[in-house]
Amino acid sequence: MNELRDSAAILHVGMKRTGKTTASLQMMVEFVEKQGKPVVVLDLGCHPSFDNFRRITLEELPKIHSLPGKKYFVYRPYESLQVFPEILEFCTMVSKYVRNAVVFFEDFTTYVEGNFHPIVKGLILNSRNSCNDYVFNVHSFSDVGPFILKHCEIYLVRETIDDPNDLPPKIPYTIRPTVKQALALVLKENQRNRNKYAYRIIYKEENRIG
Amino acid sequence: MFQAPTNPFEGSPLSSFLSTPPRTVAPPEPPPPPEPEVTEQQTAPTQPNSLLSSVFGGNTATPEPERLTADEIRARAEVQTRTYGAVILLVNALIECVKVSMTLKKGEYAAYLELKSNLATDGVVNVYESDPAVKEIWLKGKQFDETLEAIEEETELEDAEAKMLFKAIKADLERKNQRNEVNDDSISGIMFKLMLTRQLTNFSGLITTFTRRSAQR
Repeated sequence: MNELRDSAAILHVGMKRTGKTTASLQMMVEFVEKQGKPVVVLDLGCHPSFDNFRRITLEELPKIHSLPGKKYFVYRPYESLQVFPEILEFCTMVSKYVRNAVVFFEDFTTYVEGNFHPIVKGLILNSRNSCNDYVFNVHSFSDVGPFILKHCEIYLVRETIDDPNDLPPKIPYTIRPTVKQALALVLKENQRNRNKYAYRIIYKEENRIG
Repeated sequence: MFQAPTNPFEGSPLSSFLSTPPRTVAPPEPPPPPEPEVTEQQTAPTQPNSLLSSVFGGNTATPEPERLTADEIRARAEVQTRTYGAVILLVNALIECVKVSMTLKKGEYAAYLELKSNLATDGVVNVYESDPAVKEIWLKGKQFDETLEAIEEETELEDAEAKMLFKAIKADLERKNQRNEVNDDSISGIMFKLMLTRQLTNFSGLITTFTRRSAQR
């Protein structure tokens, strides 16, 4: 029996005010406390939830395990006009030198869309080998490219603007019925509870809702 | 300090997934520390030197300030002054020689030399007093001789002085060699300095001899 879990790329989908950030913070706590993994948030929007995280530099990424203090880090590019090269550099540093850690890509679609750069593709494909977990927070399925939909092992689905009956064709054919079902359950639960905090987890490899 | 969020839910959505410990790998070697950038030291382009530019300081002008001892500074200043001085002395000597030659008419100096030789053999001191023409030749010739002797005396270098200059110039050359600044121009400049400072006596001797010879014709 395998007692260790493999790392995963997790797609966290949900529109605004569905509890994405709160759940992300709670996941971060669990990653750090239960899993012993340091957390890095790539945050371009300077979200106030991450203001108390220690700001990490690219040069410090390889030493992430030996940095003192709590293992909650945030990377915010310094040069707002040079943001894309800095993100690619961040991804390169993570791929090359960071192991056994978790990276949260906050509002992922604001800086990566369409065809992914090979560096980003490599980062996602090597998550298992590098034992890094990646969490991509996005607002809807229609926002993200087919590559990430194909290669994320887990979908964490909240209420989105996507129509469960008319899902984007880029969602892999085999998983579409499950996504449709999960979205319908979320909507139903939210209507019942009169809020937007419902979610469902889809384990893609097993094609089941957790 | 990071505070765990107050979550309205019990645990995170991934609590069950995260209840299993993760697989880990050995971390890779960290990147090597960045090597300091090797910047090629830019040396100011040396000014094109002519033979005379070295005399007037062009060749000794260094692109950046160098540390010299007080003795070295004094020696370098001495060489510089001497080189300038030598040029001025030689030009002066040349002008003086031309000027004094112009006071003599053709044959006058030869006549003066004859009087002088007679004076030496006869031992008569006031031979010219009776004839104003002879007296004039005598005075002119004497002035000519005295001028040339003064030139020779002025440009005569003592041995110690010449050695000191030679040492200073040599030290300058060695310093340039250590700083890898020796090129054809600097060598020719130093040779010129050496020639001027060490051979100043001979140069002025050549000028005075040439002046005497031409006056005798």
